Amino acid sequence: MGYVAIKGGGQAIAGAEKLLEFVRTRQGESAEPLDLDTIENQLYFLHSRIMSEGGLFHPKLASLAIKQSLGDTLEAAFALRAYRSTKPRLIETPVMNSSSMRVIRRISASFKDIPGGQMLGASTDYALRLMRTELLDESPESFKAVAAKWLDENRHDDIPDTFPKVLDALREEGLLPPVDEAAAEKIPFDITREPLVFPVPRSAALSTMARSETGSILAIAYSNMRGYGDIHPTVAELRVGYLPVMLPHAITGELIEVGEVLMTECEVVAMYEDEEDGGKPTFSLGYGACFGHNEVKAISMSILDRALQSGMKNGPTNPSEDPEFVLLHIDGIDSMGFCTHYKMPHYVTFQSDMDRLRTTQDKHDDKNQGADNV
Amino acid sequence: MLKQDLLGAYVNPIWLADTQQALFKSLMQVLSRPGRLDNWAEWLENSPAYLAVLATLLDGEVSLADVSGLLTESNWPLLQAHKSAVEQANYILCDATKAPTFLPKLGTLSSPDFAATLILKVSSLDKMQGNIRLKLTGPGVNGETEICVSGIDQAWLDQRNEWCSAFPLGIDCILVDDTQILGLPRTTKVEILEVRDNGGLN
Amino acid sequence: MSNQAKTSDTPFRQASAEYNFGFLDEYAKKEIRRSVLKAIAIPGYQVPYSSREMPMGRGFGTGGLQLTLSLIGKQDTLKVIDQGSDDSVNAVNLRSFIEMTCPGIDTTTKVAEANLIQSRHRIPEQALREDQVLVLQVPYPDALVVVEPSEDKRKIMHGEADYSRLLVKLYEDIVKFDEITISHRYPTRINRHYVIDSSPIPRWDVPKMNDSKALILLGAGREKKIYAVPPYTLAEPLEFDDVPFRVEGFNDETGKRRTCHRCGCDHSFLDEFIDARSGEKLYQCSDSDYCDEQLKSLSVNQSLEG
Repeated sequence: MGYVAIKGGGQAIAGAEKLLEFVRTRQGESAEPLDLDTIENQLYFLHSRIMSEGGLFHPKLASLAIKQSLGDTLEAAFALRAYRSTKPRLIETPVMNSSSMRVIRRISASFKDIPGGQMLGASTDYALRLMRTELLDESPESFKAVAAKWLDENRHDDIPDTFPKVLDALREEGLLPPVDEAAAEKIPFDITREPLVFPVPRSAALSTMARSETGSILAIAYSNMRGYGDIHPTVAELRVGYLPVMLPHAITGELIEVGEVLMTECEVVAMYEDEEDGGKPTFSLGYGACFGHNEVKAISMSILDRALQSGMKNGPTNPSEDPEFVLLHIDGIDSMGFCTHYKMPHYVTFQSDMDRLRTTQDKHDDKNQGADNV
Repeated sequence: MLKQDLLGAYVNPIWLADTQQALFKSLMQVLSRPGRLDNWAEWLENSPAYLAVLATLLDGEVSLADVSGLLTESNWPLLQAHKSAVEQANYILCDATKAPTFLPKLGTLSSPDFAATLILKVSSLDKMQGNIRLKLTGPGVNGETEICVSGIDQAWLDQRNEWCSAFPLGIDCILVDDTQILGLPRTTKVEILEVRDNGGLN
Repeated sequence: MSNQAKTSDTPFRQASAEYNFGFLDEYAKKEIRRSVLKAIAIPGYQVPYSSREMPMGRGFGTGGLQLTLSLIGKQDTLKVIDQGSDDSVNAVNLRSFIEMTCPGIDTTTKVAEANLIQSRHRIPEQALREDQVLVLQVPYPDALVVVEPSEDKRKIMHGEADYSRLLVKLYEDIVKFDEITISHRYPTRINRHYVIDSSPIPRWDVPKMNDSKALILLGAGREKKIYAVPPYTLAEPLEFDDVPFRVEGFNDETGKRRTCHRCGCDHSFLDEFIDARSGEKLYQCSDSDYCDEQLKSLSVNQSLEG
C-alpha cells in the first residue's frame, strides 16, 4: 500500500511528549530537580512576569508553570492562564486604593523631593551590565552569607510601610483633574467573562494590558515613544509593593484582609490638552499596573493607556492610539498560539490553493496562446 | 427520584450539571428545528419546565425579568441571575395567557445578540390539538410544519411577529407547557392558520 | 478506541484528569451555551463570547473544542477529524484531551456512529443526519476582514448586510485572473443575510452546508466568536451570474476524473502527494473514514462477485 500521510499521530504525540520530558531531565543523575521556592526567589523577575501574563496571582503554580515549560515564558504563562480559566469567579474585591500598598520601591521622575521621599529599592536601573564572573562558581555558603549579612545590617523599622501618592499632591495643586468618583462606582469590565466588542470601556483596555505579553506591549508603547505618537510622558510615580486584598467577611460582611499581592504600578503625567468644554486645562494621566515586579510593563501600559484615551476621544492617528490594534495584538497566549498553529497540517487548504493556481495558470496560458495566434 | 450532588446533598436534578447538559442539547435542537417538541418530563422532578429552562441557561452574568411572578423567592438565589426591569432584561419569563405590555430588547443592527430571549408559559403544546394552529417556515424547518398552542393570548403572536419584522433585530422565544419545549427563533415565520375555541378536540 | 495509541501514560496527560467534567467550569459552559442559542437564532451572525484559554494553542481548535466541551455528555459518541483524518496529530491530541476530561463518553472514527463531530478543514463526505451536530474549528471568523480591518466597522456592514466591498473584491479577481481566486474559506451567504467565513474547508465542502440535515456550529477561540448554520437553511457561496462558484476539479490532463489510488473512489475530495519510493504523483481520499468504508464495500462486492 502506498504512502499514508498522516497515520500514527497518536504514537508521534506520545513520543514527542516523552522526549520533551527527557530534555527536561537530561542533566542526569548528578542533577537536582528545580524546586519551586528556588524558582520563585532566584528567578524573581521571570516569576513575576509569568504571574502577570498568566493573569493569576498564584506564586506556587507560577513556579510550577516555569518548571514544566522549561522556562519558556509564553508556555508558562499559557499553562497558568489555562488553569485559571477552569476556575469560576466567586467574589469580587472592592476597588483598592494603592496608597495602602506596602511599598518596596517607589520613585518619581517629576520631582526631586516627593512626600515620603524617593525609595530606590531593589533595582537594576543603575547596575553595570558586566558579567559577574564571581557567580560562576558560587558556593552555597557564600550564597547564604550574602543574605544573612544584608538582614543583619538593615533594620526593618527604618522605613515606613506606606507612602502618600505623588498624584495626590499634584491634584491638590489643581494640576490634575479631580478623581472621577462616578467612574470608580462603575462595575469594571471583566475580560475573562465578557468578549471585547469595540468600542470598549477603559477598564477593559486596562485589564487586557495588565495581562499582556511584556515584549508585545513594550514594542507598541515604544512605537509611541519614538514618534508614532505624541504623549511625552513623565513618570509621576512608579511603585512596587504588596497590596492588601480585602474581601467581605462571610458572616459579618465587614472587609478583612485575606492576603496581599505583589504589584507594580505606574502613573504617568502627560501634556495637557485643550478642554473642549472650556474647562481649566490640566495635565492628563496614564495608568499602568500589573501583578509582580515588572516595571517595563507597567510603564509601557501607562503610556498606552494615555495613548488609547486620546484615540478613543479623537480617533486614532497612529497604531498605538487604536484600541483594536493595541488590545487585539498584545496577548501572548493568543499570538503565540496562532503563530504556532501554522506548523499544523494544512494539506486540504493547500490542495485547494493549488487548484485555484492551476486553474488560473491554465486561463493565463489560454489567453496568451490566443494572443499569439492573432 | 432525587439525585445527589458532589457533596452528597439531595437536590432536584434540574440544578445538576449532567441534567443541564442534557437539557441544553434538547434546547439547542428545538431552537434549531422550530416545530420540534421535546418532552422533559423525565428530568423535571415536579419542577415546572420553565424553571428547568432558566436553570439550564442562567447564571450571575445575565439578567432576568419575571413579568408574571411565576418564580418563588427561593428560585432566585439558585438561578443567580440578577433581577432586571423587563425593558433591559436578557431573559424574560411570562405567562402567555396575558397579553404583553412591554417592549423587550430587540438588539442593535451591529449587535443583534443583545436582544432578549423570552420564555413563554402556555397551557399546552401539541402537534395536532390546541386553540391556535400555527404554520412555521424558515431556517430549521424542512419545508413547512405546524404546531398547536393553547393558553396563549393571540396578541403575543402579533406582537412577536412585529418585534421580529426587521431582521436581524428581534426576540427569540422558548414556549413551554408543563413538560414540553418548543423553540421559535426570530427567523421563524409564524402564521396563524386557525383559532379554535374548543381546542380542536372534536 | 482500538486503533489509537494510548497517550495517557505520560505525565502531561495525567494532569488534566483533576479538572471538572469537560475541563471548563459550568459557568463557562453556560456562557457558551447561551451564545450557541443566539448563533442558531441569528444564522451566520458571529456571536462574541469570552472564550476561556484552553490548554492547547490558540489556533489549534480551541474554539471548536470549547463548543464540544460545552455540548458533550456521557451519552455522546464523538468523532474528531483534522484534514479529513482521525489520526492526524491534532485530531489525536484533541480527542485524547476530550476523552480524558470527559470520562464516560465514547469516541469513534466512523461518521455513522458519531452524534457529535468536531472537524478542522473538512466536512465528512458521507451526508450527515438530523441527530448529528458538526462543530467546525475556525481561525478567521469574519469574511469581511479582507476588505475591512476594523471589527467595529465590519459589524455595521454585517448588520446592514452590506457586502458590496466584498463583491467588488471578487470582481477585481475576475478582471485580473479570469477566476475567483478564493480557494478555501469561501464566503457563503446564510439565509440571505449574513455572509460567513465558511472556515478553511475546501470549496468542495461548501455545498454540504446548504440545507444540511445536521446543525453546524463554528467556533473561533482566539477571535472569540461562535456562529451557526442551522439545519435546513440556505447557504449560498457568493458568485456572479457569469462566473459561477466552482468546487475543486480533479480531472487529469485528458479530462478524466482522477480516482483514489487506495479505494478507487471517483467522487471524493483528493489529497495529492508524491510517493516517496516511486516519485510518482498519487491521489487519495482526504476523508480517511470514507476511504475505509469505500474499501470495505469494494471488498464485499468483490467477494460477492467472486
